[in-house]
Amino acid sequence: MRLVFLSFLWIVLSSSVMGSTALNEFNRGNAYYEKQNYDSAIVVYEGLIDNAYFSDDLHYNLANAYFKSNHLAKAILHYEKALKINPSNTDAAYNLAIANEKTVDRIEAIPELFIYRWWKSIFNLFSADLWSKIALFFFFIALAGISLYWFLSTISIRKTGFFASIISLILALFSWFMAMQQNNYLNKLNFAIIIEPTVNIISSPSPGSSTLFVLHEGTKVKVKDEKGEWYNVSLPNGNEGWIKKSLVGEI
Amino acid sequence: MKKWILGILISLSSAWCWAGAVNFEASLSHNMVEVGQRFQITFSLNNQGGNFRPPTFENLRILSGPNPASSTRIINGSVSQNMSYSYILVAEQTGKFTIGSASIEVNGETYKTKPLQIEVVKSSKNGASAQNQRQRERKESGDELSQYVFIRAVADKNSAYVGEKITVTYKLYTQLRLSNPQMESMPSLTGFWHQELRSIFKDDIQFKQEQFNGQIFNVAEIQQNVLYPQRSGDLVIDPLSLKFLATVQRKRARNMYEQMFGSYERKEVIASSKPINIKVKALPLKNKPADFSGAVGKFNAVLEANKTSLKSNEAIDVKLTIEGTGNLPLVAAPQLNFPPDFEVYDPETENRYKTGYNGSSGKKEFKYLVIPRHAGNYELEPFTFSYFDLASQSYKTISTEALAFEVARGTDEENVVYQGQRKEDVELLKTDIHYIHLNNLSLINIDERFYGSTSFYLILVFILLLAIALSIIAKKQKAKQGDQVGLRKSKANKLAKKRLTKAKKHLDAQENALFYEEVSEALFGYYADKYNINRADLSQEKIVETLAQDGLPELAEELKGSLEAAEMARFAPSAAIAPAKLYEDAINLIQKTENRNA
Repeated sequence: MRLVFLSFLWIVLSSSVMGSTALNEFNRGNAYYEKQNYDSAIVVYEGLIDNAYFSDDLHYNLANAYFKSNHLAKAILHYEKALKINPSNTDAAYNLAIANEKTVDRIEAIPELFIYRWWKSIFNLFSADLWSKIALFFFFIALAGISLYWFLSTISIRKTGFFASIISLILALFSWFMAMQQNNYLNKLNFAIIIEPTVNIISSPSPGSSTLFVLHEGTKVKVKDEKGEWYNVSLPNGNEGWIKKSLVGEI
Repeated sequence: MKKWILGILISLSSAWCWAGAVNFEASLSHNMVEVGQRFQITFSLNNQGGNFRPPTFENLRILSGPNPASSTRIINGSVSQNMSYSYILVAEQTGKFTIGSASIEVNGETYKTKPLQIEVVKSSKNGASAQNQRQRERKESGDELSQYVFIRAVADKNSAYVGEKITVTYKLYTQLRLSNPQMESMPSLTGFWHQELRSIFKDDIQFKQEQFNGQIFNVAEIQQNVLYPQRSGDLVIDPLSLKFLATVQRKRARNMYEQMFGSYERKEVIASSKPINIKVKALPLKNKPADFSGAVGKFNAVLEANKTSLKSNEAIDVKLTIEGTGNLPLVAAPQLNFPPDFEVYDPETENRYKTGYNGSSGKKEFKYLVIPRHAGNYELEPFTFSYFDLASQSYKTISTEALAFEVARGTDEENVVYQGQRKEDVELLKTDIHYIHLNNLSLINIDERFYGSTSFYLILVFILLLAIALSIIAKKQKAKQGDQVGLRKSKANKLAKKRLTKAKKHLDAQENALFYEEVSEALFGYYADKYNINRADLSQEKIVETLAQDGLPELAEELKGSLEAAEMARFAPSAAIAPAKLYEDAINLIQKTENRNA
């Protein structure tokens, strides 16, 4: 019992105490930003991302640096990424709105279906890590409850233990499911941002196809399909076509 | 379509309101003219209008115009207004010409005149009046006189930057006596902002002698303009033409007297300058300051206020003086960045400059009346002013000192009762992105994520194993306890039956006391075993209570009755209950309990 508790505690704590060198690096980038040396800040932040670090703060600060150095499309891309990781990052949402004001293409975003929005807001409540810790916690409670049922003779305590264990088990499975959902959502490629100033959207995934329409940097497109080095993208108004992968940044 | 209908409705309604439609028409003084004959065209409107656009008078020369005129008449309280534009034209070729339509705007509606026809015929000396002929003679001879009378236009430079001063001087050269000057045509000066420095019609002119092409002329500066080019490109300064009456000697004497003393006559002469081409260079785009607004020359700026410490709701006069030489007349009132809480009124502009040959110099004062509405310490940011310095051919930016205001709480702020506590919205001055996050930063390495990691699954497996282990332990423990109880339970019926059989024997043998004891024992024993009650706790109440808890209150009542009857019969044999019935009841009870638990 004590062993389980201790190992649980160790896991919770170990994740909050992160690699201090990475954090130092992050702060170094922030210091550059504070000195308005945006290009150096970008180099530091991008280095962290290349080393597989991610967080909404990292993407948010990087996006700010891009915005300040007039890389509008990259700024929008990283605001979107920050929001994908943490939809409740209100600063990112605010800055994204400002950045979107400056884009060339005026495309009305269609709001998502409210049920999907609710669903998304539920599983995005916590990170996949936290969800899985919650799941483990409830598994543990379920085990404790069933143990009460098994080993004690007082009927009222046994009853309580039994129901607590059932409910905890349900909650644990739900949290695990949420963790899976959150993880899938983060890994799934849904949208992309045009990062080149002007991009032709063509009718088929081969060079020399006829141009259907032209998009400009910062425009958000939905990725529907991929083929080789091409993405099939669509706009909220229903237009769709193919674009080279290298011309967009995946959110 | 909709617009059409709307337009018709509006025009109908307005026509009805004005009790008379808006009438805009053109009229000609002559339908047929000779070449060289002057005629007049008038565009008249019975209303007040604006944005008058004349037609292009093709094949015709404008001598004067547009000459606007307007009149207002009030008859019996109804106001009627008229306005007209007239042109004096002259035709230079024969033919039938169409004068296109002019347009004017009245109350947002555009009205047009009908095009007019004019026929120009060859001038016939025979048909012309004597006066006409005399004029013609004068004119013809005037052309011969052009070598004696002409105008030279001299610009001080032929190439300038946009906004750089150009002075054009028109000099009249004459060897004749001239009188009665009339403007023949004024330079239109499109593309320039201009100011007249001197004009023959306004100023006294003085002649002096000057040699030109080897001949001595009387020369006078008759017109001087200062020009500031407004756009780049090749601009043309149109010629200036003046008409004079020249006194010349008659060539052929009409009589003896004239042969002897000579005779003079007056002839009309037109003197014109030649057009001047000016190459206007655009200001360099390189290093152009963002706040540059077109000032060219050399300037200085001073910002001052009549007081810097005051009470709220008191007015401050902030004066911005721009001093220097250059296109000062074109310097517009700049926008000062007053603190947002200040009430700012439109600036008053005072011109204290003079425009002379070397351009405009002096100062332009902009007076801003501002009223701080709230107490506090405010700062008016330094005003920066950018201009193009001609001497160094580069942009210069000058900056004034910042002004600090100390505003104390004014008394009237408290006296205003009706106003109450007015809350103001926080004014968004400028949108900028929110600052980066600096504290409580989260940073996760994808490889160190907990979800899906080995430790996650290890803990999961650990919990599962623990659950399995605990369940096995629990089962074993239960098996130990559960065997005794179960045995007792399953034996309960058998034991009871045995006892009841014994009781039956006692009943048959008429041993009532033993019978009652045996029945009582059977019932107690059965329920004690069935509900796993300790012998020590065993009592009638305990059994009844347990049965009631098990959901069998009726059975509990019956059992209670039977047990009481058995007890009573044991200790008081005279009691009236029949032993056979008790026996039946006991069997039934056990049977019912057994059925219930089966």
